[in-house]
Amino acid sequence: MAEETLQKSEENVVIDKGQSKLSDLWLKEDYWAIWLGFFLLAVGMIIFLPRQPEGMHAKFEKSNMIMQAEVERGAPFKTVSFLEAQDAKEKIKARNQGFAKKLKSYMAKPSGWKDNPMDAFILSQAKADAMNAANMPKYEAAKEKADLAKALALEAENLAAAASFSDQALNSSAVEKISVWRKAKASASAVKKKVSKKPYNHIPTLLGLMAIMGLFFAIGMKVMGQSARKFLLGFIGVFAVSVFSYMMAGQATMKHYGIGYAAWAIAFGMIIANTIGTPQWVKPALQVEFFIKTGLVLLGAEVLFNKIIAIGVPGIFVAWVVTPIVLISTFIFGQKVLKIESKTLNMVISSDMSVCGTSAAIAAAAACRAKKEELTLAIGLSLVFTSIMMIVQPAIIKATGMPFILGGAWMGGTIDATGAVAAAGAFLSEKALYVAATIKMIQNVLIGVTAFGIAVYWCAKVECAPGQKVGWMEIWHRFPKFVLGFLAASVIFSFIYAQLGSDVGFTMIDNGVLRGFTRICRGWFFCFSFAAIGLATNFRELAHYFKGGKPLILYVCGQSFNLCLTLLMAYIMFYLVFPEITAAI
Amino acid sequence: MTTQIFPSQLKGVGQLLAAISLIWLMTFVVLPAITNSSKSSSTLAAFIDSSGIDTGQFYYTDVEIVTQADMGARSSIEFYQARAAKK
Repeated sequence: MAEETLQKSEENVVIDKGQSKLSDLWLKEDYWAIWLGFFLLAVGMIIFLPRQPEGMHAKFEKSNMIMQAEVERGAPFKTVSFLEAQDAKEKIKARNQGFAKKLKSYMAKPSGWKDNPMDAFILSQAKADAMNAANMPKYEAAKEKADLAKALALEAENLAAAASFSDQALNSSAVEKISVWRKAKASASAVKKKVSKKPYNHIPTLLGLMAIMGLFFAIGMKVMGQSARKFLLGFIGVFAVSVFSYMMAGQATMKHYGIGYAAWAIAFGMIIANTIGTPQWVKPALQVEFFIKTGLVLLGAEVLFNKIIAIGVPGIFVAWVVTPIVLISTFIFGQKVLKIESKTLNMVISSDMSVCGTSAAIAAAAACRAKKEELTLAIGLSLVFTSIMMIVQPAIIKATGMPFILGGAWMGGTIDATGAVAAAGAFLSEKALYVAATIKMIQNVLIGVTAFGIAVYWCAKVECAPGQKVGWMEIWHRFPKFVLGFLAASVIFSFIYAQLGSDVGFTMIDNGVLRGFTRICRGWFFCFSFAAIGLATNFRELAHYFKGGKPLILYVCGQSFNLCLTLLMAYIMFYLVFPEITAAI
Repeated sequence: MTTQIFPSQLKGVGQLLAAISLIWLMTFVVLPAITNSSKSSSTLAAFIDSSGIDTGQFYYTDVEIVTQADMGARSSIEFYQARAAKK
């Protein structure tokens, strides 16, 4: 019996030698993910880069001149004119142009809704008009409130300016009134969107999108030797689950809990698979890795290294020092203390919890070749804790009187999903939003380094027999090649962004090629992969990975450590080492 | 053969309908009740409704309001920190 067990465990050790062939370039999905991803990135650049918003440079120059002049006035806070110039700059986006809006409408996911799910797909002119009319009094009241708040803010600012900004009481009063105005302005802007609703019918565009995206992946499937016809037929099922997932994610109550499309796609897929069973004709399209790797190559372009300096050195410390410490220590804790059998599960949960939730879990799972059930489990844990932390952390910050900038940094470094971070930050104040969302953005960028590090570590250390020395060529053979596409996309887009400069890069790359085109494709691809994961997952298999509750213990312990360390680091950086940056925010 | 498959298919359809009913119950009854049970969660929910922030999105490029945060933080560093450095 003992001999049998030993023999079995030896069979599970990966000791085979990998090999690379030229034909891998067109026969392996890792390369196809790179080709398809780069094709879309090239299309995005061809569409957006030649079409700059009219008068872009002149508008930047005007805003920058106003901001510089306001700074030279000597105010220790952002004045009303400075903030208006900042807002004007933020509105210059390549994706706000007519052609980009048209393109977005062709790729649109189902819209938000509250009571009637059909509102996610169709909104008639009459209903849009009725909604606009119903919200008009709210908008007028919000606008009036914002105008009044602005007048009070200007009055307080002028009083502070008359005292040459040297009277602390007058400065504090101006800061407070400006903060009230910003909140009122944000509220009025949000209501404005509710009075400018336009009718839509997403059904024809969704059908068109299904055909185009199906053909897009079918080309790869055909060349890799699979049946394109069977894939296309099955893709209808995967696409349908994805559409329903987006629909549920847009429901108002789901937004209150931060339950996004990833959770719904997995849930819907699993419900189908474990009740009526996944139909045979859908199975050829359950290409989890193909969808996920192509999405990750596109995500690589969104990993802009230029963003890490967005909030200066304190942000780098909070996001780039705490995060790797938590990741590595929780991985060691899982292996040495909890003795989690699956190293891949351990790594996916550690990355998910320490870096930035679902996106990090996807990248880590693909880099270390984790099982789909392990990714599902990690995403489920992240979802539950994000929902709780999004509600509890702002309440703790308010109850304890914690400074909002410190609270923002704390939430940005610990809440997994960026959407939840933004909501919790904006709920506190504009400054808390700036810090929270920027820290999370910097942490998002860490995905690139994390995925590469995990892929190398797995090839060199984990996927080999004890004592076996792995050479560079062997690492190359085993290395998940799509990670190279992911990194190349990141380096290329970061380089282009840097060459264009922060203002033009923000408008043309961040708010043009990426947010205007490729991230919409990437969102769909991830949704397909989650739907495929769900459709191929058995409840019983999933329960096996939760054995002894170890994943939950790992998440709770790791997140507790993360909460303490992030708060400590944020306090040291924002209040002891760099107070001048905190004052400037 | 048909009589054997039919009950299992029926069972599957029943389970599917039960799951859909559960989702409906969670969406329209249980979760709204939990939201309304505490002031902090209901206030946050009202804020999410009014601001339109998509809380379920996981990457920074997916969340519209992050562009404001990005610009706001960057302008603090580019203008105010630069002024402090000059002094």
